[in-house]
Amino acid sequence: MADSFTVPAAATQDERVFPAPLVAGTNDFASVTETVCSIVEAPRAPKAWYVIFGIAVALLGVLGAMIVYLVSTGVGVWGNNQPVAWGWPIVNFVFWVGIGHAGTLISAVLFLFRQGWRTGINRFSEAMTIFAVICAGMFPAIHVGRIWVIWWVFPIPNQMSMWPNFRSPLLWDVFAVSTYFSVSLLFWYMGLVPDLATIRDRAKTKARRFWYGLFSLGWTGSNRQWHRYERAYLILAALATPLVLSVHSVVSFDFATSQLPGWHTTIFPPYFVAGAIFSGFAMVLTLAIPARKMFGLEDLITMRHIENMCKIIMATGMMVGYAYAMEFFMAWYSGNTYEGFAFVNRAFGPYWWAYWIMVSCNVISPQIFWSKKARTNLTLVFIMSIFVNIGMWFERFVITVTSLNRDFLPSSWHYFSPTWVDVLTLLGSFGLFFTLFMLFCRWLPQVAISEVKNVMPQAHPHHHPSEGKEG
Amino acid sequence: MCASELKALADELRKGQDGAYRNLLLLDCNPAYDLPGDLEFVGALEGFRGAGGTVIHLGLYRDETAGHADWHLPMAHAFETWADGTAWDGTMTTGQPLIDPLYAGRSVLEMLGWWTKDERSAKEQVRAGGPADGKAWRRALHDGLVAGSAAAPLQVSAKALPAPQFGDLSATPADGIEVRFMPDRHIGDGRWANLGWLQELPDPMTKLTWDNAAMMSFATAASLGVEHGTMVRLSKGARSVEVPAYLMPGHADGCVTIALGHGRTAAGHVAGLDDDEIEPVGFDVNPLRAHDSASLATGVAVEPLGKPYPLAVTQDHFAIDEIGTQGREQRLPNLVKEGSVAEWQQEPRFAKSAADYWGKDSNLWQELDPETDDRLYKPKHKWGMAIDLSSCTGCSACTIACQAENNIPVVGKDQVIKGREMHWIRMDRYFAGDPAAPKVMSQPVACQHCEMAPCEQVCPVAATVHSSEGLNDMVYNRCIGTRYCSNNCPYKVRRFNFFDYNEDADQPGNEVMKMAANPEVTVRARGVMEKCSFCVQRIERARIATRNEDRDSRIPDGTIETACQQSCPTGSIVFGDLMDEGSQVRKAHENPRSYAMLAELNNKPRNLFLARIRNPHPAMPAAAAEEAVTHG
Repeated sequence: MADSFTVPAAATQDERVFPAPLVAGTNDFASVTETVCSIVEAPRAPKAWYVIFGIAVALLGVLGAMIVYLVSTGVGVWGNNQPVAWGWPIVNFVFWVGIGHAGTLISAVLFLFRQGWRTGINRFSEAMTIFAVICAGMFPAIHVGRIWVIWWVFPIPNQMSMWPNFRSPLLWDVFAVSTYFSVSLLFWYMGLVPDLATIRDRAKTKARRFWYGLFSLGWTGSNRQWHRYERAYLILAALATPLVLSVHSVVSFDFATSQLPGWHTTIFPPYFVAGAIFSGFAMVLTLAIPARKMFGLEDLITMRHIENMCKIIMATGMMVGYAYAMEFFMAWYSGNTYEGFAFVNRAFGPYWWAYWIMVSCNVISPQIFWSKKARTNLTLVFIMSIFVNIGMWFERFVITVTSLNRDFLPSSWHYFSPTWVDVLTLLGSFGLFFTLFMLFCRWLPQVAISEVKNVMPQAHPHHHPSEGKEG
Repeated sequence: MCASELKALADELRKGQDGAYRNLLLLDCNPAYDLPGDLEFVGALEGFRGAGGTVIHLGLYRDETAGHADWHLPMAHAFETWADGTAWDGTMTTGQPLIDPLYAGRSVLEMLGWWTKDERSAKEQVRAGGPADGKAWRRALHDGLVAGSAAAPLQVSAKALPAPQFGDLSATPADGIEVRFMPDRHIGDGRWANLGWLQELPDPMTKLTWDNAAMMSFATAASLGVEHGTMVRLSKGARSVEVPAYLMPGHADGCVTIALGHGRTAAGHVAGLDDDEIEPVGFDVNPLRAHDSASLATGVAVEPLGKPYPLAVTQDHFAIDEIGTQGREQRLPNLVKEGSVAEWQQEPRFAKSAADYWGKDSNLWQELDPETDDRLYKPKHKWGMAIDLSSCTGCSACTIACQAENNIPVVGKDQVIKGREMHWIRMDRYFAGDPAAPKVMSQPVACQHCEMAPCEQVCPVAATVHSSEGLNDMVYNRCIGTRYCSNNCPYKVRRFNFFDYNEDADQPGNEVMKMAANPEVTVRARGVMEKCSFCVQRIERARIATRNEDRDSRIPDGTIETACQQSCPTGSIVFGDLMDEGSQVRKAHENPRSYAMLAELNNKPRNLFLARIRNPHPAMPAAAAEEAVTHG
């Protein structure tokens, strides 16, 4: 085509001077639109999509069955006991909230820092965020003893003239998670509007025209609209940025403001945020590596994206490792008997295996990403991302269960074991997540078309290859 | 009946028509279950019946014996009938029914009268034994005893005999293992087996519920190759039983102790009922007993079977790892504070820690004082409790009293194994030092009603709040069951209704279960948290009574007794108003021995413990162990 450029072969250049382009291959604006929209417009999804979607829906059914069983029978169907009053449901909650962190970080924080490479993966990870937060929000709701009065946690005027207890960190959670969810959803949806309009414009059926037209809110792509859009996007990014830090800080307050040894530590907020970013990026990789292959998005989600994410995982993994070490140091340095015991017990007590799974997956395994070879080996990166997901689930397990199972009075110590309902509920939450995610992959643009075009050489009229590094 | 009489009876029954008896009346007893196995009483009963004899059984339950009787007659419960008795000094006492018999039962007295053609009712029979004067009789009924009816003491003389020589009592028996049978500490010889409260009450020492086990020492277990929580077979001659092993610190070597009363096959829906395919609870060890040595069997062979058996123990002791053991040993002296007489004489406040003196200055904020600050409501009372560890024996009567008073559900063996027992006041039992000769410590723990309660701050819906009089109130109908309060409670005294534990009461035919509930206390629903309320219903009852007398007066000390306090046989627990300078509880709090458990958390518990003073006789072996633990 007339406006296509030949992109210099990356292999001949020093990457430190000329980073690999963010859109690989010989793509132009039209081909980017085509690549992304064709997924949505294809009459049939790839075979793998049906397989994964089928499994996900089956697991979603399992989740539904587990919830019905739980609500009809009682919280006792789980392994929770005295003293471990919070078991897997809260572990799962923190796990999913953590996963839900990368999305806003990528879309908002990296946007403010003008990190052009975010464009390839931001739609994807924002969607992941929203679905993860849905999974997360479900757990505190179903874990209460009387789900039918869960609305009492909201400050709704009521005939009882009762406010919730604003001193409770659980209440802060309600506000933090719901704010995060609304802002993430808004941010995601707003970014979708121009792309939805593109699909609407290309639509060949009435139904598509109607539905995509409805949700593209009459977008015409006029200069004025773009101007408003960019401003709003910037404002939302600025609003969302503090949320990245606040949500998981508030979640960590559930633990940090308690008296329980092993929970009562001031290091929790930054440590939780780092851990959340860590797990969020790992989940983006877990999703992106198969998806780019399945839907032919290799040119838009390039090795450079994957490498960048590997680096972030390595960096945050080390922060988390530092936090683990510092917790131990503080427990010893404080001279507090109970605190000291809680940590020794974590590493060498009855749950030692959980602790060392956590350390191996979160601290040791990401070290492999020092090597470029490892960062560019997709199979390896995929396996590592799964490791990190496992490790971060165990981190929450270690914090929640090992602290509770042996607290102050030895008379109350009791081992916790999950039940089959615990296990199936966790699996079921993956069903919910992947069902939503697979629907997203099939029916919505997985890559932000308009934003990717911004970081292509064609978007810069006075293009010179050396300026490519801006992207 | 003594052993030889029992043997003679069984032999006589076996003779059938040729024997001396035609009819056998079994009144309020269960010999088909609880007699020593060598009598083979069931066989004797069946032989007797087969030969034309008639067996009539009167009992509260259609139990094992009823199953081998021609007639089972429903007996009236002691609360349903008139009765009389004598106290230790011979004083006549009276028992009056509290309710009409629920199941048309008759008392032993009535049945005996009926069989002997005595037409009088039980009441008339009891009346006949009392004073003739109507007024004196009414007085006796009111008091429960006939004053002045004590027997005259005998004049006896005594002369000192030379002290008997026993030899070395701690010597290990040479021929095999000695098995000691003891009545179960809660269900006795099995007569109380069908009471869920008692089955679920942890044994004061083993903390075992819903089972009996072969207790043995670590050394004995090691020499026999037995592991904790696995099955063993005890056999003597042709008779054998299989029971789980429980390794008991401080148990004598070379012997095994087993509680009787378990393994019933016709006790009821709680303890086991073959007819309804309900598994027996625990193991029947009566077959191993012999009539001439009913509480001891010598020369018993113990064979480890290796099969694990789940024991519902509410407090693990040796089933934990090295780190746990160290952690426990390290913190025990700060939880259960104890001292010798010498230590106490030297420093009566030895149990106090710095945190006990912190006071108001320990807060980051200025605390408002209701006594001086006009903005605050001025309470009339400040409720508090004190538990004297010196007099607590660990008997656990408080736990059952609380369970009865506060409608605490029984959850069953599988739930206890999961750690979901519901007791509001539990008896913590610790062993310290050498497992072969440990020091044992007991400590009753209920809600400490902290002034700065960590549970209250974390509840998102304010379902647990502080009353102006200092109670940590639990609002059941506001609770949504996040269980955060339990996580943040350092004493772990909160209990959660994981299931609907009261659903049985709604089943048709179970109306009587509802009658067991205290009408003044809410029966909790599924999904809510509960805990000790300091028997708030009793406080309110006293408040109403006092106000009716005089609106402005304070509830006098001693008016309110909590259920645990009321049932404590040694008077260890006192409850009352800390604002009342003369109150017992105030005096206890001011006792130099008082201390707050985990005071350093600054929760300011309203319950204080009084440190235990130990004073073992120097000649007793326990004194040496004591010395080793305290100063070792």
